[in-house]
Amino acid sequence: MDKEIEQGYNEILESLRKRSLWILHYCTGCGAIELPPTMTSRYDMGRFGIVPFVTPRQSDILIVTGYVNIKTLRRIITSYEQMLDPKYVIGFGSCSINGGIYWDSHSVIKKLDSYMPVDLYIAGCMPRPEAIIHSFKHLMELIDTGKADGYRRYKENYDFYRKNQRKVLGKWR
Amino acid sequence: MEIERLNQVIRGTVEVKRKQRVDIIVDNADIVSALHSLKLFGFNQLTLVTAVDWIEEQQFEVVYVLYSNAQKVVAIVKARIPRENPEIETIEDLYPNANKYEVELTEMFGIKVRGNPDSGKPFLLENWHDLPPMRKDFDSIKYATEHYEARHRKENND
Amino acid sequence: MTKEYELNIGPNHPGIPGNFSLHLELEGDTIVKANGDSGYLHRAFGKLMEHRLYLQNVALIPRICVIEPDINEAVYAMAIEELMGVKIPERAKYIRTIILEAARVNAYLFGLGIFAAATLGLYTLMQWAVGDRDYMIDLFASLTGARIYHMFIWPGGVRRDLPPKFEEDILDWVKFIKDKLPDYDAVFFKNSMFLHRTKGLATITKEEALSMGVTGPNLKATGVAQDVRKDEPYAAYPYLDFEIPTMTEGDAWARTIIRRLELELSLNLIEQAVKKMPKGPVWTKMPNPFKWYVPRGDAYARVESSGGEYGFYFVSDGGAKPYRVYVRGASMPHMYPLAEKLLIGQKLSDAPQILGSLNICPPEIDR
Repeated sequence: MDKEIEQGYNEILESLRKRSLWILHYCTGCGAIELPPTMTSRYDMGRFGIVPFVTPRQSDILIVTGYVNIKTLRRIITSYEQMLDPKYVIGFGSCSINGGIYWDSHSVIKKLDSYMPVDLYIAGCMPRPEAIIHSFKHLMELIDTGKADGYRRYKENYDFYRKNQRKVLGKWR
Repeated sequence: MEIERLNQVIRGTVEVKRKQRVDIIVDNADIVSALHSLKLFGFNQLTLVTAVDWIEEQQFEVVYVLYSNAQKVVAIVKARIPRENPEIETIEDLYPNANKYEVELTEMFGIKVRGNPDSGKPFLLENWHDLPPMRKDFDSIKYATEHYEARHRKENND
Repeated sequence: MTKEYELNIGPNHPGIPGNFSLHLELEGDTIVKANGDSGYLHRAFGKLMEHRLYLQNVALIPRICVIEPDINEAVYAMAIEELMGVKIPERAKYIRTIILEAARVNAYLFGLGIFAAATLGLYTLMQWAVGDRDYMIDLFASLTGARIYHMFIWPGGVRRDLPPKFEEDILDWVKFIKDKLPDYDAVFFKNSMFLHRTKGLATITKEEALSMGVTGPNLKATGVAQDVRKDEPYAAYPYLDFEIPTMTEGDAWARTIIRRLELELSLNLIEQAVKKMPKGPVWTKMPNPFKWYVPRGDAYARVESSGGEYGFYFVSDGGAKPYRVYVRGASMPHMYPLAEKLLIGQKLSDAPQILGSLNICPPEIDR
């Protein structure tokens, strides 16, 4: 009986969560140029309850916009760990998927999901605002069906992520 | 002031490459004095400082690009320095914005800048323990393959 | 008795324009010392370009600066053309001018919108300006197939001719933005909040600006009419009739108003260029693109970007790939040492306005 109540409670929570997704305002790469058009009058993602927010503590989504320099990687991991559960990560653009055009750069990582759990990738350079909105709708579906469980995976496989992070960042804490 | 008169004030080779471009090749020891004369001559803005790694000749070429606001001429000052223990003198007191360009030079090429208090401090890189990355003998493809995990195509078919 | 303390702002901070951070030493609310910390966007373009063929680099370089990518393509093409001695057709010059000016307008609209919203809380201008910019992005998409990275200007000219009706469409857009300017003025440039928070803030003099290598709108705001478009005309600028706007105040207000005037100038230049554009070819035929052998030598090509002078120092050793490329971003002297000096003695709450008014673009510093 308790389990059923808990499940129902969670379902209600998830359906509320997906309607107010707050993005952490952190422009990690060049993909940040397509976010203002998505936010402003033309595409207006406020329609879906998605707004940018300044502090990690109050944000739900971390959008990693494009390439991730190792210096930035340290900061996004810190920001990600500061965010409260449930939290979701969107890898934005080809560079976060496989390094993209910077595959041979000495300061850009190639595969974001080795270092932090990624719920969703958007392909393209740049992804268009339509693609961003589509990805948010897809994320809402994932949240609804309970598949956006990156934050749980991060806790379960913490050693794996920590090992990979240490490999590129050194012993940083 | 005529650009052709530059020959008289600078110890080095002055070549007018085309309209609004002057190439000046100076000796390693004359860099600061040449830039000093150029500043008096009217080249009041420093556009950039960088280096080129001529690895076959075992030399670095330090390049200063200056701009004269009044004469609308770009001067490219070049000097060759040996690749072993490269060192140059700072020009921060002549051009205040040279500081970070020189810091970058130290970081990316390992060229020490005497008199620059920030030379050797990290600027763009963090925790860097390898060769200075812009040198020709630093293989960034090898470094990236060794350090950063790549995604293999097969993974996507799962 | 106030105590000194240290404060890190950024990189995750909306008042910081982009991904870089500031390390401040404060005495109460007053900044005593400011140190910038860059490198969050470092990708080492100089190194990446050494690995790629000249043609492959055409796709790589627009990614240096995302706000105004076309200047990179233009400056790369200009450096190669200078070394190879290629002359580009007249029509290509005009098309380049139109694209560069449209990109400049886009950069100003975007920059002013973000400046108004993120530092002053005036979100209306951001809603309008960024939304209006999007119509030009649509035109870019119809011209080049991409919204942001166009890869349209390349050595020898431009990739293809303008699509039908493009000239009318861009004139319509110019007229649309011109009609919008009074609205922008009312909501932002004459807004008392903007005036109060920027007038007399962080003033620089002409001599300081010149000695620090400051260029672009930040220099024009101190009264120096220095502009690469006039001083060393490239593309079709020699054929166009324009005056460089200047102001004498040199404060944050003047730096913002200059960008507003430049916006108007760019719109006028687009109109002129579209009307004067001749018919003809758009590309000087170059040999097989996989065998572009650029003769040994070096060149410094420069253009005027929305931030200031933007240039490539380009060295070729005669091979199939560039030997060394150094990207000179306009923001480098604006951040180091100008912003670091301007912040000293200012209040902490004014720091975002100062950085925003300098129009600093971090990817240009980091590359």
